Amino acid sequence: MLKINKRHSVTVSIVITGMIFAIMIAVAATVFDYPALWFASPEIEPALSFVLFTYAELLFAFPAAGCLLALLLRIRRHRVFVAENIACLRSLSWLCFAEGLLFLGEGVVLFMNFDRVMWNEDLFTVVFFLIAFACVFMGTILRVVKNTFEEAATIKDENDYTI
Amino acid sequence: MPILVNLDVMMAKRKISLGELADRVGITPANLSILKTNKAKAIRFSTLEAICRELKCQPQDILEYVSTGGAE
Repeated sequence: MLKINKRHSVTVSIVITGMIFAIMIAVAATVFDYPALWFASPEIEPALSFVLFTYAELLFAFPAAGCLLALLLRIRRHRVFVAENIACLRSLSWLCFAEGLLFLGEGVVLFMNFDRVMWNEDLFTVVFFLIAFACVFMGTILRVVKNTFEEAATIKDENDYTI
Repeated sequence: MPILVNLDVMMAKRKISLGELADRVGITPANLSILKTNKAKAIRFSTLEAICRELKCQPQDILEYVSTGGAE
């Protein structure tokens, strides 16, 4: 198994987060054209709800990626169990829950408007429900990690002030 | 905090500075300052022993319990 040096491990995480940022920017750039196309050619009917939900999901995804980057940069500066990181993890977990809610909503809308979607609507509905579940699960994991960080910060504080 | 550290009183009696005491005890002046200003949350026995040795005093000379008014 490939074992990365501890110093480089954080750098790898930062690079991966950067790649995620780039992917989100690419998605945003792709999706932003659709409303303009729709207004220009009303006979083209892309899944407008899909576009709107994607906007909303990106609205939460960018701050989440920002929180992750801030967390990693602080860890690289050896500031791990600090209040700012706990706040970052709290924000990340709530953003994941919000994303889960959006994907669930998108799945429900797709399911209800199945006659207006071009592709295999059943498969997409299931996929969106699965993504929603994954987001909620991730949010829960992050909450547990936040609780762990809080306890660790208390222990560190005790240790720092033990003479 | 109910436990008060009266280190500054003993240091004045023995006419020793913070830096000198920290050097003799083997801790940093910053840590000794944390102790002196009652910001410490705990003290190791080894540190307490070293302080008592250098200041030629007993633990009760530098540590004082002050009741916070709760029912006992």
